[in-house]
Amino acid sequence: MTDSILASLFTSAMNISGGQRFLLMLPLCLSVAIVYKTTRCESLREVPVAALVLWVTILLGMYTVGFGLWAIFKLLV
Amino acid sequence: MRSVRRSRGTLCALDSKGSGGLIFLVTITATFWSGVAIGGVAGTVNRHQRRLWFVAQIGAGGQTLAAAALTDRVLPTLPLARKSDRRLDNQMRRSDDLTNRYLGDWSAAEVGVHYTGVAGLLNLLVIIDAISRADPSNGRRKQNGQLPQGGS
Repeated sequence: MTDSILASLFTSAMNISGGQRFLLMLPLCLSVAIVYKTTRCESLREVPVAALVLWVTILLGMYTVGFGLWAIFKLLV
Repeated sequence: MRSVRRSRGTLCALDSKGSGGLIFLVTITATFWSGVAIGGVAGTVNRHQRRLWFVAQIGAGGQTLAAAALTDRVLPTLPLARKSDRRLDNQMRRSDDLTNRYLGDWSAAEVGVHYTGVAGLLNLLVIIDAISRADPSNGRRKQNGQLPQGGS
């Protein structure tokens, strides 16, 4: 029973809307920020703040680029 | 007294390194299997239809091999894909291969592929970082001020 629930968790895909795709970028960028800052920081105490700053920077950069490309697309179409 | 201080310092260093490794393990594993859960294993880790992404995913090592084995097991049980299905991506719709299987919603599979690919590349980053830290000449160059300090 537990095995089949666990197997179905990984074998069946979720249904995702456009807005949810934007939201799913948050944990992905967070994991990138955490791993990168853990490799760079000398002390682990510096990691949370540094990762948070990098996370916000990545998100702002990605959303700005995305909005810019969307605006160009809307202008050209 | 000095030896106690030295051993305490070693313990702190070991603890710090161990926690760093634990952070890598938890973050990369969670990212990888979240991607598999989002996109479904057959649509995410598929070495036949997503070869270039598989190259990135294989950076996660054993996890990717386990997911690929699960894909090989799951794939024959999936129904055949119909080309009129709007949930298929363009690559699948163009394909004439009748053995093409329905792999799930294309947007979910794309997100899952990104998660697993990034997890593999992050694991490579950690491996390269560990190799560079293990290089004894790295410490000497750092002492001489030839390398920038971390944390930037």
